[in-house]
Amino acid sequence: MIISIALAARDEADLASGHKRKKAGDLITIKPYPWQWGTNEIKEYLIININLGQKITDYAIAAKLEVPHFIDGRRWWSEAGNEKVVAKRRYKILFADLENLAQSKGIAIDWGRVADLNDPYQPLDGTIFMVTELLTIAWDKVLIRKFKDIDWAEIKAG
Amino acid sequence: MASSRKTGTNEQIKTYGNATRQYTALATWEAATDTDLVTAAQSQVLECYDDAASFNDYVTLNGAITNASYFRIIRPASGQGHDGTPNNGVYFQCTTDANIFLVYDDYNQIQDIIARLNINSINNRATFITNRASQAINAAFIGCIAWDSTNAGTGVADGFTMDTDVSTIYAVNCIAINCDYSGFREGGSGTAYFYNCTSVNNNNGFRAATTTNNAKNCVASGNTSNDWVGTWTQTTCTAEDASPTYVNSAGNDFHLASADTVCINQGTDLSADAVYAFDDDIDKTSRSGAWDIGADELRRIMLISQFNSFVLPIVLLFAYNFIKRDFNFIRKAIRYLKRI
Repeated sequence: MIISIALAARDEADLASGHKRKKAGDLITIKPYPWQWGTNEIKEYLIININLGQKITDYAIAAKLEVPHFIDGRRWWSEAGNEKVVAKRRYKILFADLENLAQSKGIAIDWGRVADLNDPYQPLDGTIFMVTELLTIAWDKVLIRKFKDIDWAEIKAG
Repeated sequence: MASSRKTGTNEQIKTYGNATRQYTALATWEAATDTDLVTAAQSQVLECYDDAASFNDYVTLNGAITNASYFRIIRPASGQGHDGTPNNGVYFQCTTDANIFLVYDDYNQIQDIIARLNINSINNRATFITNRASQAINAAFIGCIAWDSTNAGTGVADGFTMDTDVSTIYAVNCIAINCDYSGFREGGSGTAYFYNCTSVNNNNGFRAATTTNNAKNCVASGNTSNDWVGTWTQTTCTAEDASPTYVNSAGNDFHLASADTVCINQGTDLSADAVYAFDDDIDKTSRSGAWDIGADELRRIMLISQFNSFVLPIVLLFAYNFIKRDFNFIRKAIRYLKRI
């Protein structure tokens, strides 16, 4: 299946309470492709599209990529949901690697415009990356490494 | 008049629905508004439009700094809300193994939303839920409807799970219909308040895991296991196996029928309640006189207006003509009735 992902466009300052707000590249939410995003969403988030192929074929499972960064590293919400959340998103896209990937397809990204929350700039609109390409740009904050092919089984089981 | 639906101070309203709205995903609005609302002196509101038959979406409200004046609200836009039934209005149907509306933050309110969870999971999930660990002080679900929530796996799907360890949380004027486990479930050592809620045709109606709960004016009926499970502190709630008369149960319309004798005029006036004072119902109709039990207040105001429109003129006509000894007034009255 193909998914459309909203990524945080820039770093937001953490709160005095200790709450960690979204950082550039954080994977905020996933929708099935094609998705018509809202008028604020196309300004506030960078949208990328990924063809997951047969790795994940169910949107309800793909939504597990939205999992928070739990302190115990679990892949999905427990029943009680009382585990401490370190940050609201576990996975992020590394913008430096995304830039390289885009350039390989002849797309130049203006990061100043991406970070401008009043600019509906979506340089990757219409581009669909393959799941193998996702492995080169996706970062797991718990495992402190990029995605590997072996991760899909755990994500699905999570 | 004190509406059960709180409004925030200095509301910053954003819209949700299709691509013509500002947001199409609850998570994107949530991530844009998990800020220090107290310092910013703002409340953040997401007004939802009935742009789709249903929205497959869910959200966790977590991280914003809030207080009693500045907090977050999710509610339908004006004219987009339900009619007291799950048959129309802003409707979320989620198939992801998650709670649909999970509230961590204090004072947040979810108002007048219809939601349905349809999952296959080993986990117990809820359609509307507060997070026990975060406490969710004074968080509330108001006028919401949990409907047909099911879990095809070994876990269950609840309507409303009011879970807190130290705080107070509220479900007011809410309805749970045909959920595969509890309509309303209470847990944690904090106090969960259930005011004027209706729980029908679930596995169990109101299920308490602890004794720190308070149900006032609540009705449970037709629940296949028990209407009331556990130890409840009740004020004018219906008894086990009560049989209220609803307008159209088969059509999921659980407004009270005028012939009902179980709920109508049997409740307690909560307009000056010390914990959560309000005087409206799920339809935003004002409650007055003797309150009804459950989410719906029979619309007596219509009867009063009918009295004013039809009967009062006749009474005045009668009095006037009686004084004048003009007994032709009977003919006049008949003519008047024919005219209206």
